[in-house]
Amino acid sequence: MQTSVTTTDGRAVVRLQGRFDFNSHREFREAVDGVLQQSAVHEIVVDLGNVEYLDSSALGMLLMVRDKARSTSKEVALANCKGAVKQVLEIANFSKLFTIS
Amino acid sequence: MNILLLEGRAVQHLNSALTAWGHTVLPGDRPLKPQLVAAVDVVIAERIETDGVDIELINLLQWCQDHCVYCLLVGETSDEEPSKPFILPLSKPVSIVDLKSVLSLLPSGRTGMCDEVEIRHQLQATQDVIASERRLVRRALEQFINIEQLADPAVKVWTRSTNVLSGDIVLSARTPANVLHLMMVDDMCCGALSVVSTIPVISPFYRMTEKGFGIDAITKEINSRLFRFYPEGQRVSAIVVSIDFSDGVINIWKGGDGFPILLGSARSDQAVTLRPALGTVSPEVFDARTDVWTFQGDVLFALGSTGLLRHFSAKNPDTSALENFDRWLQGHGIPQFSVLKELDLLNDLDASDGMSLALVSCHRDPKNLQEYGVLHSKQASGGEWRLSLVISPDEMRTVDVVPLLLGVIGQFETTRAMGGVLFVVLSELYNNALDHGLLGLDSALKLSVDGMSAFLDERSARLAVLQQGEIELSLVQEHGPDGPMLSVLCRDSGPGFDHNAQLKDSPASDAQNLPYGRGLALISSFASKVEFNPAGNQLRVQLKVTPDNVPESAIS
Repeated sequence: MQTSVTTTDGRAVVRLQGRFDFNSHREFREAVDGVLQQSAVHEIVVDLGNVEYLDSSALGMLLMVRDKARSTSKEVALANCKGAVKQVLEIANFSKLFTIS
Repeated sequence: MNILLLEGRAVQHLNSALTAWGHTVLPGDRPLKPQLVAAVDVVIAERIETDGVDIELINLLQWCQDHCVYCLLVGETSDEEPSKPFILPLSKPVSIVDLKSVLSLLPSGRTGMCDEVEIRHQLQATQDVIASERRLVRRALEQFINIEQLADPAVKVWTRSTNVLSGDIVLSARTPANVLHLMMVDDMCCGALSVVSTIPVISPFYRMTEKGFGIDAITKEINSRLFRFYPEGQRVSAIVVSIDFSDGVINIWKGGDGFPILLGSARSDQAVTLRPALGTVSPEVFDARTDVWTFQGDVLFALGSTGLLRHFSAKNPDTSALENFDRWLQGHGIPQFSVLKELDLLNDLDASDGMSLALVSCHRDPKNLQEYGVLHSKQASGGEWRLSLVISPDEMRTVDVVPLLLGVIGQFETTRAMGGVLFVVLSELYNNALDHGLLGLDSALKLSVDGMSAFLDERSARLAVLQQGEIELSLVQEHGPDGPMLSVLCRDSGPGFDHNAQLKDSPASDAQNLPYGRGLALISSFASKVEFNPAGNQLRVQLKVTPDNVPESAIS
């Protein structure tokens, strides 16, 4: 999986591309840890628009980010969810845990 | 030369002349004796006109032929045709006045004559082989092309060749899901080479269509074969089409100069992306993407060869070839498809090129599907497949199993669109089997601050030293009463677990914030049936192979 981060006006967008599963853990953690350490960032948007697939490990990683973000008073949202990705998030009831667009 | 002069009124006076010309004359009687063979270079006999069959003459000529001896048949008059072959290759009717010059032109000695006989024999043998080869090739091509498949009720095919074997080939077959595949191969080599060169094309087309592969996978496979096996510069121009009657979707891969067109009220000859011919580019860069057309109601789809396009280009330079073609077809009753079977469409065309035309009657009316019910049910059994993978620790450390399986499953038309669902199912099954079944990891490790990292580090450490164990993943597509079903089985060689207790205590239902425990819930949401074995080390998941199991974006 490939990651990229852009930060504008306290809003960090973490874009993911490819397959989001346990193999992606290191790349994902490096991307979000950098954002979590930025005190100027108040909102983290995980852009899943270019994610082909995700599994339950990815769900766990998203929850981990949300928990860490909360401890630093940041909000986490999921964006551009579609297809198989959207379906998995819906099944896992993530709409109750995240703002999803 | 040693000349055997046979008896006869017309040749009696030649003795002295032949001697004067430097030849040695041997007197002879018929029938000729075998002992003469070694001594004679040329036989001269009298040519006698007869209304019937001259058995003696035939025997004489055959003797000469068998022993590489020229036979000159000499007539009394000078109005013979001295150069015209007579009966057998080495015999000539010769006028007496020409005899001297003819003798001087004959190959010197028996060796030269034998060489000529040998050459003629070889030529005859080659011609026999060619004739036999042509019969064989025609028969083989008919078998390869699979004429029965072309009897599809929705397809009509016309081919007109300019040679013994046409350079165009049209193939059609249906997938287990009743999708029609049509392939027009343009300008294949003619003759025996056409059979050899069509094998890498025809075989994968039928075999993979029968198993439900899509045309992208089929063109990939054909390109790969041609690229590997064909000599450089030997390529195959082709157009490959899939027509899904239920969805009204036509996928077109175009790697040649022929043309696809929708006719009648749905007339569409929109441009189709032209790809390099099959076998031109390496498998790594081959582009199998297709152009997509859609249709509603009743339309007629036509696929024409390059020869047909050239003909209609020349017919009226003021209008496009496709317009000329459309008008010509309308003159034959288009779009009344049923009329076409009575016509030999291409016969009235004047063209120097081979031409082929395939017409497909496309009805999106669901009632029409019943028309093909027999065909569908017959071919449905061909769409059953099984894929099984058993891996040991060495492979677990090096092989990315889920993408590997998805790559194979994605080749099948019926399951390709289910990639998202299958990724989740296979990932959960495989990771559970490895993490908990073989490595004995506890998901509670994930609960710590850096739990996920701790879990994955522990996973890597245990996998690195894993010596024994195996995981089996099997996928079986079968046709049940409600349509195709995909059964996914995952078995590990671990001790298993109390799945009833685990499911009962699953945190997913009452603790949504936990970073684990969603795998089985995800699988169950997609599956028609989830079934553990008693030991808890084997899980079988049944999935419906239908658009219902395809994410919205994949359908659109």
